[in-house]
Amino acid sequence: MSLKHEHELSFIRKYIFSMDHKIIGIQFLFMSLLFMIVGGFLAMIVRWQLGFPDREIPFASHLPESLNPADPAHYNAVFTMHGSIMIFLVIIPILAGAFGNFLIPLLIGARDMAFPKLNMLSFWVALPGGLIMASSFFVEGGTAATGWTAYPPLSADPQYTGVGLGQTLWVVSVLILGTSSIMGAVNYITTIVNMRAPGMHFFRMPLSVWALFITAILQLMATPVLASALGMLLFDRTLGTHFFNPAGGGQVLLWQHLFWFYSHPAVYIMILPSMGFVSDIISTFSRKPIFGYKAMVFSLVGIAGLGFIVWGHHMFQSGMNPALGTAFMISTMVIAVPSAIKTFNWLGTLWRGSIHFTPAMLNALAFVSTFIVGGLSGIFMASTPVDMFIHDTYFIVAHLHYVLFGGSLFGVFGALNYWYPKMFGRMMNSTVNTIHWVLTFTFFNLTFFPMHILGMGGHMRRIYDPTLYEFLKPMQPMNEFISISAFLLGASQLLFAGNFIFSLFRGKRAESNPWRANSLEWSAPSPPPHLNWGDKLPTVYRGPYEYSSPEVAEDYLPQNRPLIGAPTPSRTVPAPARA
Amino acid sequence: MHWLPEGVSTYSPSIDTMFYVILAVTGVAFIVTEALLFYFALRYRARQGVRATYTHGNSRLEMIWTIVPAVMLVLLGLSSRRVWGDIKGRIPPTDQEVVIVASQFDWEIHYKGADGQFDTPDDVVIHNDMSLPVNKPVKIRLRSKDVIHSFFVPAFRLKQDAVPGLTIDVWVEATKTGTYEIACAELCGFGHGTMRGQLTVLEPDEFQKWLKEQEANVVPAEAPPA
Amino acid sequence: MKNDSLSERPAAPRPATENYRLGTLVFLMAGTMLFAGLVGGYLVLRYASGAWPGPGLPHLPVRLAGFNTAVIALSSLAFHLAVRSLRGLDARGLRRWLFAAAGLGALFLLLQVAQWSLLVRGGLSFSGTTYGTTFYTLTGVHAAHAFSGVVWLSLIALRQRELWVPAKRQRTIEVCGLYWHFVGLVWLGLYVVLYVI
Ligand code: HEM
Ligand SMILES: [Cu+2]
Repeated sequence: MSLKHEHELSFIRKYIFSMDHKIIGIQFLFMSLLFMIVGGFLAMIVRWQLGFPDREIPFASHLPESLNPADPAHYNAVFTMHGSIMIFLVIIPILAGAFGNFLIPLLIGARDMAFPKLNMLSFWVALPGGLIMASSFFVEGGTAATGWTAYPPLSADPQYTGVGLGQTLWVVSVLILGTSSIMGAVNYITTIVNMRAPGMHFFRMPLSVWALFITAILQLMATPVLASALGMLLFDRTLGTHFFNPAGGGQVLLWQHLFWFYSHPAVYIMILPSMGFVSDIISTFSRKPIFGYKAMVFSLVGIAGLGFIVWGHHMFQSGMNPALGTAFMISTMVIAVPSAIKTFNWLGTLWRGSIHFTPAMLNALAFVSTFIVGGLSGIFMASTPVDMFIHDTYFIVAHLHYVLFGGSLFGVFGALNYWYPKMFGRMMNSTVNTIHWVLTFTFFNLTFFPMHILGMGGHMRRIYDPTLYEFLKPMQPMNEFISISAFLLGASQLLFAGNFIFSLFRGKRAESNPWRANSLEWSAPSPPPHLNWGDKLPTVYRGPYEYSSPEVAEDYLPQNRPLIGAPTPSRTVPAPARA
Repeated sequence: MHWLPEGVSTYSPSIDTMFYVILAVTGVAFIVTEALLFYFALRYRARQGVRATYTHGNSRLEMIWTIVPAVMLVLLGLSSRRVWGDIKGRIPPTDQEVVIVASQFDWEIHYKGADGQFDTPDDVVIHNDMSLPVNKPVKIRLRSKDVIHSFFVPAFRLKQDAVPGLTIDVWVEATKTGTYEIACAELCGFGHGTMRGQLTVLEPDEFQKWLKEQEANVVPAEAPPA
Repeated sequence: MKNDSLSERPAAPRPATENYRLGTLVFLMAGTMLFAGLVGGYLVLRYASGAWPGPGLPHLPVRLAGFNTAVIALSSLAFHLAVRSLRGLDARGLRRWLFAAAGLGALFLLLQVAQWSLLVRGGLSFSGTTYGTTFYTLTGVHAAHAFSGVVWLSLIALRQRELWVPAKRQRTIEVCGLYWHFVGLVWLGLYVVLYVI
């Protein structure tokens, strides 16, 4: 591969079947953002039904039959697809697919991924996977209606749901998306291990890269286990086997064990990259080195390792042996420790910084503040006796939205604000995005915080009409309040969408390093050309967090700037505090 | 504090206490961290001529904020373990047994009937309406005919999945008479949200009277095949 | 020295192992986890059920499978010799050993098919019992991997006409070899899990 080919590529090779990691990343980005609109729309339907169970959706007549929640079977389909799309087609592909692809080579100083063709394939496998999931709305019997967790026997036999092909398509789609994830993971791991620029030791990598690296390892190790479970489910559905059917000697709980063996690591797949982005953003806009770089790295590693031995905390009330429950409780308690370490280190980074409230920074701060809530609520559920009460209630829904919307998605908003200039060569309007942040942060908390209180009242999740229960009736006003907040939360996203699209064409041109940041991507033009840098790759002299270093007059010191007359900072972590 | 609904089983106070203890611990953590976040953000906002402090961390602090949360969490885990062992790790000896067979979308509640045996034609079988004596441990045996359901009585704080192919025993001892609601907590199909039952806790003599009436009403055809 | 940090310009890190090799190994980790998931499921179903095999069901042909284990091990060995020939610049030996490895692989598959038909005739159906289902699933998924390995091996062997081996093909051979040894190792694991314990 060499530079001179760039101009010879046809439009199709350059933008459609592209092998350039940046284009592939942007393809993943657009795919995920489009699915986010679908998933968000489904959420609005869910909230309408829960807030106003007696009133028909105003636009119900325009919805496809299978999306009208007034029919309880359809309600199940709507929240199932909301969850499945948000997890498998929005958060995972946007973090690992879009940012993983776009950032890894740029941040480690490589020209591209190790296997560009495989990379291209991973997108062109993911897209059909997504389309298959979307197509399941339109088949006979409607789409999957068993929750994103798809517990058999409900999911294994159409007689229990009336959904035939739709659920099968769901299984196939998730299998395909998993294949794409594995392809991506192979690429990321190889690229990070082998293709770092000269001087880019492991402990000079930005935390975004560390996070994406660990995420790739989780994807690589966990996704095949999900694939094995999906294969069994597919056999049960189509070939009449009885993996999960006790009548034929199968074990119902087997699915849950395999599913959560994947899905607990998967929740970290969904947040570690955001943790990385947030670390980079907070350091940049505090103009201060990240506090406890190594602690940050080791806590990522710790979360990933422990993440494989806590899956049973989703199964405390499932009929699993209670003694096993205790073991999983203890491991779950322990996994909260690295999360705490990360939080304190973010706070430490802010301490005595010089904080600039750009939209990226605001979203990163929102990440920290909501992740605290989500991490702390996890402790309630980790306690087996308390979980007996709040399992499968809105407390869980609150927790998962605090970590996935409050965590992952604020991380994504932060990252989009931060790297947009690099991706598209233009700036987004920061006033609009600040307003977007204010509205999103406010309505996010108004929507999801009250769900804790619903859960404490015993409000079950996945029911379509709370007013059927005497003990839930008094809480209906809160449900209405939540729904209205949710609509406003949804509407606020239009600001971001509008700004995103408008700035693609009309945004102010971005310079190569608009944030005066240190890592290597800012040494390439915005947007970087094919192969990222001219004929010479950057050389790395130090870690990525040398902000306000006493060695230079400016408050930043790029990783690739040689300093004449000053000692090169020591090999791995820069020397301890001097100030 | 009464943030949780009234609990009417012998173990609900210990669950609620555990909840409030965790709430207190996490509440302090929440307030401290969020306050620091806001304080730092405001206090250290960028100002002309003020340069950020150049530091890469502090290993003493790292130690503290690793060990303190770890100790707190393990302590929470250990105290939870006691409560948990008491609830799901044992069944107190009792002669009062109920079998609940869940199916889409129905709770089938079995009492032994006059002969004191399950699975005989004189079993009392009632749908979606359960009665229990107060102040007496009751063993509940959960089964499912089709998919996973979850037997949930918020007032008891009791929740346990009913899993096809498994028989799962739990117990409860109610502490107050009254009517409560049973809900299904595990997605079980389109009628999941309507799988509601009623639960009445009676004084022991009333319960016996009620049970006798039911036994008198049994039409043997209704009994399950033995 | 101290005053001229430019002379300390860090050298480009030399990867310990090249992309294609590392990538393959990483990929095979995923393959290992796939089988780990399947074997995990097998163990759960097996130890949760009372009789294994259930009454009236045929036992697995331990000897036949044992022989087949030897066949696939020999095939791995043949591949190893093929790589030895490659190192010794012996293109003819390479071709010969590749064919030997592919042939032994094909024999392995043939014997697997024979084993299945033996069991099917003995009354072990795919969907009737979890005993049958897990057996056919594990061996079937493995056979699918083995089949693609045999096809790949044969293609490489067939294309090897010249007396030299282009660099790109050398890499392909190495990747294929890693894959083929993986298939053999997985079989060894399956043999232990399915037939021995
Ligand atoms: C501080 C660390 C955390 C702890 C102790 C924790 C604990 C738990 C527990 C015990 C459950 C099961 C609750 C139940 O079903 O009864 C759970 C559910 C869940 N957690 Fe966490 N969690 C933590 C962090 C996270 C993070 C970082 C994420 C994602 C980014 C996450 C995502 C989820 C999701 C999606 C569920 C719900 C799954 C479902 O049933 O649909 N959690 N968590
Ligand atoms: Cu989990």
